[in-house]
Amino acid sequence: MTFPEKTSLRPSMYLVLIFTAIIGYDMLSNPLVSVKALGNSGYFAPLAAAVPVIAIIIAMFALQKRFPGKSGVQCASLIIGNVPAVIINLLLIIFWRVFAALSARNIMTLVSTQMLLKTPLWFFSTIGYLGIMYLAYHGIESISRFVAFTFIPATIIIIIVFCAAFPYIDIRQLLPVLDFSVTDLIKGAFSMSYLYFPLILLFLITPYTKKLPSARRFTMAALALSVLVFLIQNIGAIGIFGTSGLNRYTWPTLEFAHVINIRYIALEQIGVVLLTVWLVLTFGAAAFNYWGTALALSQLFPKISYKMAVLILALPTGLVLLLPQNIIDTRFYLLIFERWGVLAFFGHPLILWLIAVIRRQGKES
Amino acid sequence: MGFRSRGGMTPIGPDPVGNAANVAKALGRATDLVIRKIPGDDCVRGDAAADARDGSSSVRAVVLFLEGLADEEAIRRHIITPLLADAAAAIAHFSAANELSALKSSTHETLETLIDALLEGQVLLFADGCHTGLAFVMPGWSLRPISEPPSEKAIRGPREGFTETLRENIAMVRRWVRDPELRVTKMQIGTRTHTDVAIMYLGDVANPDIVTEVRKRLAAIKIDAILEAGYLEQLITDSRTTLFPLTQATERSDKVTSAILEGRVAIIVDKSASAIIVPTTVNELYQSPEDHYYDFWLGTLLRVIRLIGNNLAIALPGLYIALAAVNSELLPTQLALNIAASRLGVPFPILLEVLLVELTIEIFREAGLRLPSTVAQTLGVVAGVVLGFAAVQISIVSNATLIVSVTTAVASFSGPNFQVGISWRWLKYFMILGGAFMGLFGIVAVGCFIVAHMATLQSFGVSYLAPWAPLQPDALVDAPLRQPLWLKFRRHSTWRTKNRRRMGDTRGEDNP
Amino acid sequence: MSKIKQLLLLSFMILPVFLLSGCWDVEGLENRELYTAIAIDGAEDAALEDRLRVTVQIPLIKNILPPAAGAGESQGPKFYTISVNAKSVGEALNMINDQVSGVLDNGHVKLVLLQEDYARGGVAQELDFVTRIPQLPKHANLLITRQTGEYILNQTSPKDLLPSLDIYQQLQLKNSGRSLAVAAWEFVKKLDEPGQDPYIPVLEYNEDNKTFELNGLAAFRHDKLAGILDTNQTRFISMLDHRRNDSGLEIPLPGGREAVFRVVKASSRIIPQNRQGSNFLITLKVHASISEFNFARPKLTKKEMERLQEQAARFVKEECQQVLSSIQALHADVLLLGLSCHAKYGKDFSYVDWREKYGRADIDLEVDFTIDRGEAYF
Repeated sequence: MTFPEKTSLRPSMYLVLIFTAIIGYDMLSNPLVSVKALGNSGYFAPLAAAVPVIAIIIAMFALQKRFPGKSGVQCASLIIGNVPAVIINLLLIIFWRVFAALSARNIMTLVSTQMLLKTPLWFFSTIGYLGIMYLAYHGIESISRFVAFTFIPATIIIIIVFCAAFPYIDIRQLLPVLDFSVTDLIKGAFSMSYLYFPLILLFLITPYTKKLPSARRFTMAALALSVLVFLIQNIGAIGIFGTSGLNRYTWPTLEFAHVINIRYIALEQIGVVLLTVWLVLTFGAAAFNYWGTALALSQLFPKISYKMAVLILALPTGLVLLLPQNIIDTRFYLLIFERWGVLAFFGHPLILWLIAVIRRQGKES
Repeated sequence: MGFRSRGGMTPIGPDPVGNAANVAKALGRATDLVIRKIPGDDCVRGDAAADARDGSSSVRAVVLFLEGLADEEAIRRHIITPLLADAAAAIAHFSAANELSALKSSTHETLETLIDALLEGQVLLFADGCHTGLAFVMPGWSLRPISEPPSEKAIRGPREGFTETLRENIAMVRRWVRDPELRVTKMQIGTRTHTDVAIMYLGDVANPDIVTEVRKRLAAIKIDAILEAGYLEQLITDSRTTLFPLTQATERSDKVTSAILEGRVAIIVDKSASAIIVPTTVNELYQSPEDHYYDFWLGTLLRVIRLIGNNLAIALPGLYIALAAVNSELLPTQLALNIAASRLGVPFPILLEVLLVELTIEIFREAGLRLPSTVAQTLGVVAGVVLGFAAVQISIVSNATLIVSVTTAVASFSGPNFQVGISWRWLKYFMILGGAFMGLFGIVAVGCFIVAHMATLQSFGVSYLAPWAPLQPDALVDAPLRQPLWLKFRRHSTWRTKNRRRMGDTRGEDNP
Repeated sequence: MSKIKQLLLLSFMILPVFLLSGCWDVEGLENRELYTAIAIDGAEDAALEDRLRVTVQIPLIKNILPPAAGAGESQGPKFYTISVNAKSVGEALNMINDQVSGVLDNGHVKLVLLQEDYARGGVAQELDFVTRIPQLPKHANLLITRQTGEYILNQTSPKDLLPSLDIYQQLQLKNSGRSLAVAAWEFVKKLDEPGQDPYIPVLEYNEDNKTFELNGLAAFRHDKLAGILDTNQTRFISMLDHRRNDSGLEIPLPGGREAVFRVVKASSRIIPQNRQGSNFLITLKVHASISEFNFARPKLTKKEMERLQEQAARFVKEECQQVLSSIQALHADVLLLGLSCHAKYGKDFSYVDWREKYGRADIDLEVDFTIDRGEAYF
């Protein structure tokens, strides 16, 4: 190519990238978690979880302001020294990659159950992952273009499907609205915080834009849009199935799309349409995630380029993806990662920023 | 390049016959080289043999041209006749101040440059005692008349398509854009063909980086022959392994003009009816200038139909296989039963059936391009209708598959760009395989892979997925809708033009 | 070309090789047995281990398409049925899959029929397959049959349609007063939720007219059929449960007269009066259009219309109270009064012994009847 690979992101791309990263992670099964914590009012859980996340976002951008042009991984060595930074960052990268692989396994199980019952998991997982690697290999510019291209139609279809399910809601199942205690709310916020783990990618992409305040605004907008989608989705799932009825299903959001029965529509079932559209978002989100870990690894070990890192991470990711026996195993391990992930994905940037502030490291203006 | 490339800088001698002999020798005594010797005033007229025996001093001038390339009648009238009448005066007239002469001519000091000019179809004149040669531009090769391009028909709009003559094509664009800012730069490419290539753009609009890049890529081409614009397309494209066209080829002059006015660069090639427009995006490949000749409503409808047609052309067979063979729960029950009933007795699995029909249609399509027009229509009916009917009757293929394949074939022609139609045909097969092996997930996976691949493409620095990716709202209103003409105040940011302002206030008396 | 690119290209070339080893899920439609209805009856000998008799109705695809024009011949039967005895529905489906030539496809099930007598014993276990099989449409309709499901599925439809599709169409088109379509997911959800009881429409085959008739509603107490409401009672249930009602309403008037209403729209609100769930107020707003009077009175004065509205309201109130008493007697909370209580009082309301409390609850009714239109004469 004559024109070299550009690595700059417009601030508006943050909206698309961050929204896709969050929604493409777990949109289909989170109502199970929300009703466990807050019962009928489970739709508040994603909103409650988003509130502390705002502080994390501000911390990440503040860190970028202190160390312009440096990603979070690179900042760590400047803040806490090389050796501790390498250890902590390596642990973060391993944790992140394993978590991403398990999430991908969750999605592949979903595809296997809903669409390809007899096809071996390794087969379509390999196909899917090859595509993800191909996109990640070509860098953030290609990823951002893919995500920008698919974002509008996919989001519109998802919202239309959600709205089509609204007539089936029994509003009584959503009431009473504030029937929970503060402790329940905090527990709910903690248990739902895993939805926003993809924000760790901000750690890596902030050096690619110069207009940080704009980027921060767009990131907040992405967060708000994600919260709105989660809100609508939880209202739909709880309103249609109720708190106990939800537990029958592994992917309640998908099921509430399955209940849609519009007589004159061209398709017999709409649930699979929601799934295919969401898979497109997931593809972009997974590629973004993959690139993020590859870039982090390449920044940790500068001798490896991110393209090389994409290839290096392929086999370990594949092995972890195929490790769990079934969905129960997968969710069991995911739960552990979801709990510790708060420390890894949120604690890491927050703690780094606090240390930088206390020690007055970096640019303070 | 050319004769000069052999390292020669042969000066022109005073003897015209000797010079002519050198030219004939360089051309291997080509039989289409015509040498007319103009005898001197003291020679016995009409005795050419005596002239030759007498030597060159009896020849006042020699005229050379290649038969078929130069206009012989014009040569006779404007060169031979004046020379025969008064050779000295004629030569003095030709040589003195070319700009005063009615003939377009150039003076050359080396034999090699004159030979290049001769090969371009110019007429050479060697005068006795002169150390320079004259080359006159008097083209006389047969020209194809301007006609509507067969592969880019229009319901409305001009029907002027490019011809194989560069100067005529440049003139066509000049007739559209009567702006002094229209820049035309020529270069020659091809060591043996010396094909003339012209780059056209608006100097105050086109991005200078893009223009420089175009020049750079063209100058870097090292090839022996350029037979068609397609050669250049393949050699200057950003990615040589992709099946998506990263340049736009067209035979329509209004399309080229429209592109130049948008701030893009056009490359016109001699001996080729196609012009190349760069940069291009996937958005441009399904748009037609015809959309702007209608009002906003009709223009938008046409674009949307084209978009649907293009997507059907890619996805329909794959979706059909995915829904009929893997994820049949999505089909309405009655439709599923009807398809099942129509496939009863078909001996092939659905993938093979679809591939068989698609391959047959591809063969018919290719054959149809080469059939004489008198036979084409009859054969089309026989092949399409009779063969299709018979195939269904004996259950080689099912009705449903035939409907899907024919719809796909017709939809693939809905785009205005033939080249893109070919890319889409390739993608269709990937979709078929994806749908056949993994159902709807396969369609999604292949679709994502296609979009991912397109996301990695650029055309002269412009993202191939623009204006959707990166999101360019000002350009997005013109894709897939057609922005009303009276709202097109600025050029799209996609082409990163120098001057974005396009037009002034279009409000009339009725809309104060 | 760089080595990495070569490697990538190589892997891409290898890909087609193992692509050709697949197609695990591929099976043409013509090789699939798309069963459109499944009936669950009790086995004739209930003492047997295989206590279920499961019947499926499978379309005969060779007779699906109409004959070519001018052919003149009538087609053969459009479907066939297979019945097996099994311990569970899943086992029955496996046995049926073994018997058919193609692959049994769960993706087009429209109806799930439950025999009335069998349903009285509980159906939660039998309906587990509905939500467990992902391809099975969650909006398949449930029906209670008076005759056995096997008998019903073997009857033909007077229309040139598959009987199951005919019945399904009826349910979708006339999702109204006399028959209320209930999707499988709805039924199962109510089983999962505490204190919620489902209902299902009742299907019967009329041997005289050779038609399938939807008559009435089966009310469940959890997963056991508690009782059957007739078509008239069903209309009022649909009003109280604010479902669409296209079947109309006939209001008897003094002196043997009658006013017939159509396009009856009702919205109800259940207002619990206390946390214990022992007192409820149901407000019902009904809007209707006059279709016919069986006496010659084309135009009504304002006073007459108000009186008619009062009479209609009174009639509706009486009928609704009777229906409410019937379902209370069955201890079937089909109107989800418990849910309304929980919605208002939250954790202060308890579902413990709810069905017993519900049976004893006082339910007051307020009906407001408005005549919107009087057809051509208004």
